[in-house]
Amino acid sequence: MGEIIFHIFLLVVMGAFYKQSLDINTARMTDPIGPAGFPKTIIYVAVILIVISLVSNIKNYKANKPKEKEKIKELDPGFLALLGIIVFFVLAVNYIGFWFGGIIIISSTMWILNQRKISKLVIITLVGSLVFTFVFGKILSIPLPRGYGIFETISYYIY
Amino acid sequence: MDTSLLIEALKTIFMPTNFLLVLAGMTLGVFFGALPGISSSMGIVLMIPFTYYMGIIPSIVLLVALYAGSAYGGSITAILFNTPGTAESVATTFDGYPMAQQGKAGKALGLAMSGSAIGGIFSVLVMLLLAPLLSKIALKIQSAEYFALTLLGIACISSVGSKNLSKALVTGLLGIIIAMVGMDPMTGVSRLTFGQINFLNGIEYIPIMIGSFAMAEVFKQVINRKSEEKTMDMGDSVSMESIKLKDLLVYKVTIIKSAIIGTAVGILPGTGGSIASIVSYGEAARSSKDKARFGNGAEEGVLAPETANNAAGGGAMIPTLVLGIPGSPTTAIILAALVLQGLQPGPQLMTEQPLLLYCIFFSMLIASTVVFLSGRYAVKAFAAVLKLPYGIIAPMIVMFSIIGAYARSNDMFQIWVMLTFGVFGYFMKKYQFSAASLILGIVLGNMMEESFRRQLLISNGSYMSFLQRPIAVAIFIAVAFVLFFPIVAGMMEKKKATAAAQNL
Repeated sequence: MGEIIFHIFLLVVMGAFYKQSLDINTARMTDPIGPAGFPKTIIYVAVILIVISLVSNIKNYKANKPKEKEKIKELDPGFLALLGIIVFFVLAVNYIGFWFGGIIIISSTMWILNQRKISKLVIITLVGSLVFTFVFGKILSIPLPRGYGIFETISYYIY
Repeated sequence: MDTSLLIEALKTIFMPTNFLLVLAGMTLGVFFGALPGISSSMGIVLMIPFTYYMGIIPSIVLLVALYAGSAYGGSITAILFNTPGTAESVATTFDGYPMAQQGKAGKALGLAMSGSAIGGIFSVLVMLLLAPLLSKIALKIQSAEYFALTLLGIACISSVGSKNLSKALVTGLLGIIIAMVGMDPMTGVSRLTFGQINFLNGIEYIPIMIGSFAMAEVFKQVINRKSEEKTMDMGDSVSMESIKLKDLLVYKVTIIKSAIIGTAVGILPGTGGSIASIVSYGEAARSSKDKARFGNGAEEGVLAPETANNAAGGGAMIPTLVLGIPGSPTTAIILAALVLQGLQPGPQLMTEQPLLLYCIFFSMLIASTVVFLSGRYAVKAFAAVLKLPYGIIAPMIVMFSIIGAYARSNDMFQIWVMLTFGVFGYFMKKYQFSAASLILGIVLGNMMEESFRRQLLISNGSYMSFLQRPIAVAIFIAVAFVLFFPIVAGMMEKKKATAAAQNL
């Protein structure tokens, strides 16, 4: 069933792109097909292929319909937690700085993947975050966010 | 062959920084290749952020050496743990693991290493000889041929490099559409931007690549995780029985045959090392006088696939560099890295960047030679690293992914793109859509559209003009063959099966 939903999602994406392609300004066309011609053609072909694949999937699903209700693996708490943590990181990194964001990411990913030995978790988290921040912030001079207040102060000790 | 260019390339590659980068790339390649869950393509994707601030030659030789090293790395886990680190090493498990169980792990690793090195060196020499010839043909290539070549690239990677043709084509087409987001290159009109300013300059493909390869794999591992577990456990220490050159001479026919098969299969766009190693293993078993040994620890069973998959690595670089058609998903990523450095892969690369090409060849040659000379000492160290649990590797991949997406343009928006395509990539993987096709679509999309429209402009809108150029026609025929052969072959097999069932 998941695969059928994924196909429908792809159709929706193609629909959205098609709607966008209708708004392309073709007044300044310099070539025979213009800026909208190629995207539209690609969308048509893609939609045909998705529909073919969808039909074959529906047939397969009907032929091998599972007797029990399918378990949705993607509702796994670990997966959702990891997604949530990365989302939090992106939203908060300008306030908490990259080095502290790194601590959150590394420690929580380790925890989710069953690395629960505290000493190992603390050492790898701290060393990992500091090394990443130092290598990319200092050596490769990438302007990593420093955060505010104490986070910013500490960041200046690293890079 | 231009000898002054060869000397210049040798000088460039032996400059301390470049030479160190080749060694570092090779070591990392072996490391990434050995770790299950990190493919060679993911390894290259994770290294790309380090190349943002490097010049063209240092960055590409690093990635190419990593590519060469990863082909050997995959064999370590295949032999020691019956777990291929990469798809290219699947055939190595057939005889490598039985050899390890018989207490000949060191010999198996030595054979794998020697085969890898010889295969790699052979294919590089073929590259050196073939590339100038191909570049002469390449000079005749114009818009119609460019369009046909891009079409062939996407057709090949979708047809041979994935399990489902129509799904791979869908992702390839989606990639082309994503490539078209932003300003139209011919009229400057904005298109498919959904009103987002962030999309006006197009969508960066690096975050998409990182998301759909690296993050998608982490998500997959997280979802399928079990309780506390180690990535691998080596058990007994590896017996390092060394391999001498004269021991290898016994298998010279197998080695030569596998190197030729590997290079030839690698050159065919869209195939890559996994097919080469299987074909070569099959040929070694077929031509062996003692077929019963295969599957029970035959030395040729390790040598053949390892020689072939490394030779295929070099072979696959030929269409990637000379024609702009990647021979495998990993070379598709290298192609993307070239574009990142402002280069347009394709026929003109040979004429515009001849030094770069020779540097690439030499970096692969050095990486293969170093594998041959030092591989046996490194095995124990790598075997120790393999004890690392995925719970420690995964956070590092997540951090690399975040920095890789962000550092390209120092923009948080790119992390959102990476995350979105991480989730999308997970589902693509789950439902057998092809991430490699998506990336290739993005990389080749603009070139495909521009060459198509330019040809129409030149020919006053005549679609028939695409069929009036012999090279273009030959490529279109190849596209049709690549796309329809698997379908026709599948239909014929079905027919045969039905007929056989009716006869019963």
